[in-house]
Amino acid sequence: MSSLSKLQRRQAGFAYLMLLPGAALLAAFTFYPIVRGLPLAFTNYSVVDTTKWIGWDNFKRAFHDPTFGLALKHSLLYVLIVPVIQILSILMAVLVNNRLRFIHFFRVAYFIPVVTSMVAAAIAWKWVYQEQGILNFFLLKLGMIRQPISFMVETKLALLGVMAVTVWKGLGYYMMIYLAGLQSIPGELQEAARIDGAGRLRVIWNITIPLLMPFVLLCSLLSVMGAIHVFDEVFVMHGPSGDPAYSTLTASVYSYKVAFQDFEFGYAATIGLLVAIIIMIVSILMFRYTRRGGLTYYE
Amino acid sequence: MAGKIKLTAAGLVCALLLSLLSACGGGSNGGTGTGADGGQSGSNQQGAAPGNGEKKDITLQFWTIALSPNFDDYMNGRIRKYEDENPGITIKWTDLPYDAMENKLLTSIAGGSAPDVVNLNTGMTMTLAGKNALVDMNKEATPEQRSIYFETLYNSAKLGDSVYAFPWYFGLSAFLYNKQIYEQAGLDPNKPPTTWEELKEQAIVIKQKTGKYGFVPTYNPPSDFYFSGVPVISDDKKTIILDTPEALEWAKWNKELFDKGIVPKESLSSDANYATDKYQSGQIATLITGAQFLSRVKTNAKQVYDNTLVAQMPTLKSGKYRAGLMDVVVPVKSKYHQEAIAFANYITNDESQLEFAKVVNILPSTKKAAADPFFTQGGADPESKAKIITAEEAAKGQDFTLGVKDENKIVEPLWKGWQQMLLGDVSPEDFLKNTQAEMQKLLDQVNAGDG
Repeated sequence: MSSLSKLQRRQAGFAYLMLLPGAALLAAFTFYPIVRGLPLAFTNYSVVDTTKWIGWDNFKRAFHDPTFGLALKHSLLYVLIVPVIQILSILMAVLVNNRLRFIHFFRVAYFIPVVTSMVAAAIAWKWVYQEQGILNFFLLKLGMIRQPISFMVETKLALLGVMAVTVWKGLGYYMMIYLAGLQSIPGELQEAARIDGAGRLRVIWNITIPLLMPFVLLCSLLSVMGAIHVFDEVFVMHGPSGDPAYSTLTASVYSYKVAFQDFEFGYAATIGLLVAIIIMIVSILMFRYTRRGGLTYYE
Repeated sequence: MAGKIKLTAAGLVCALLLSLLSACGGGSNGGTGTGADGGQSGSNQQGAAPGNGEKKDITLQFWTIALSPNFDDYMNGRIRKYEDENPGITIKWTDLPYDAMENKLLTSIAGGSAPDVVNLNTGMTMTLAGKNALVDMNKEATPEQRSIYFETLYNSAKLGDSVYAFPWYFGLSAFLYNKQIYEQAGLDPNKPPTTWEELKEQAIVIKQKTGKYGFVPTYNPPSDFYFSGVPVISDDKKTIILDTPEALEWAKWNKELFDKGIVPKESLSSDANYATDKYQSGQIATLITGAQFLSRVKTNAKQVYDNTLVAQMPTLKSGKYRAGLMDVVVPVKSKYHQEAIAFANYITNDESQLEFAKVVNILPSTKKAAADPFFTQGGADPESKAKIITAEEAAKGQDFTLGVKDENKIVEPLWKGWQQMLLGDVSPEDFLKNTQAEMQKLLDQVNAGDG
């Protein structure tokens, strides 16, 4: 700090001042609840009844709770959407990075699902999935099925149906990040490669993708986090029990159910904590194994 | 250096991740005790405590579910009358949407501002009663206050020897059917089904002849089994009795309809609006619903309403009918139990309920109000018919509950198993056997006090 000039110190001070309101809000509404919430995992807190400290009982219960096991399995299965969503959004970003006519229209069109409320989107998709919905209509018209499919009811399809909604909703968001990434890649690198005789695919594979790696890491991380604690779409489309027969129940929805239906806030906090630990482990692993890529500037 | 930066970044991300999962941490009391008498009331205490002979100056917070704005005039009228008759007591009425009530109530209890009188359905009542959050009316209400209700309805909120609510209004289902679809199917509209077996036979004909569904089941496995003649729980509340011939018959009856596509598969995970929506759009021949919902059909689909006939509900083996009951409870954290109970009793008394029934097509839970000629008189329109028909069913109405703590948890395997059975993941026989065993295990835990 002592090596900084007076101007730099003033600038740093101003920057911290600007950060202060956001930091205060974060402290009040994020970190304070975490600090207050963590001890709950060791209690039988239910709001209305007497609260007792029960040590590790909630954790032992979680390890023997088959419904939690099933919910966690679904949450981890949900991570399967990550490669799908990332590959598709990279392709979309490459597509909309071209200087074509109406490209602004396509960029906006792809982004519309992102700004649509998840509740509204989930309700709309419920209509799409109905036996008399538009998806069955097209599949029947195309001769791909003979009978309408109950996408919302079949246990093997219900979770896939929600995953598809998550992919649809998230594509535009990641596309925009990748688009920003693509536009930050110096054009001369790609031009140099082309001059050296590299084809379009080779440029993408050897230049574009490696330089996009920091963005891939960021987007994959956000996507994994979002997948593991997915809540909104499951809750709106299949209710707090993950109907039918728990087939779409995820860990976050189960946590809600335990807290707000059974009033076992202590156990719900334990579930939340366990899921947070899992996400932390996955995130650390991702950081560890996806370090490479991006531009390195030498001073 | 780069490694350190990445490690720091990883740490920051982890902290943010934790923040994403902190939703269940709200409303903590920090692990300290929140015993039944430990909190503060939400009432505005402006004067002397009740019962000490001094003038009262009390505000009672009264919460209801989804009554405003449709019934503002009725509610405000009753409240004004009560305040006039009870000087010093002010009622502050708050109406909440159905979905918001439970969370809002919990939040207010946690925040030390519990309301004094609350309208809940029996499910919510029993859950809160199991958490010792409600006043036991058998202990704190007077025999005169308790005596005005039908015993079966009063006992809906019974847990052990305690009863945690006064029953309020309730709805029974009437059988509505579309005359036009019946005629298209070649069925006589003057012969609606009188049993569920006849309903099934007619549904098969309707599906074959018109391609439309005969009816949409609104599954509620615990109640459905009970009203089909399955005890579900023993009288001493210690044994689950689910694996019976009657239960097997009911399970197979439903599975056959489901497998053959006589009822829509979506009924398995749909809410109550699904059936009404389909009926309104003319896609389903019959609708089993409360008489009060007829007005919705009238408003949304006049043509369907004009073709609607009303009949008595087909009977199940028990001969009883499922009542969707609303209760009025007093949270233990109310500071004015006596006054709150008195107001709860007033808003559910004969006079209040009869007046309410005249405003909306519901049934009263008090004996005297139910005997009023209003419930046997009416015109030939579907709404009047539905009123008279459901009033006739009222004496056999019951809101079934297990009557044990943690009921939600105990019946969960039944809901899950029911869906698995219908979807073919398990046979009806195995479903009943496994579910009985699972429920028994949970019941034993609850009875042992470690549920």
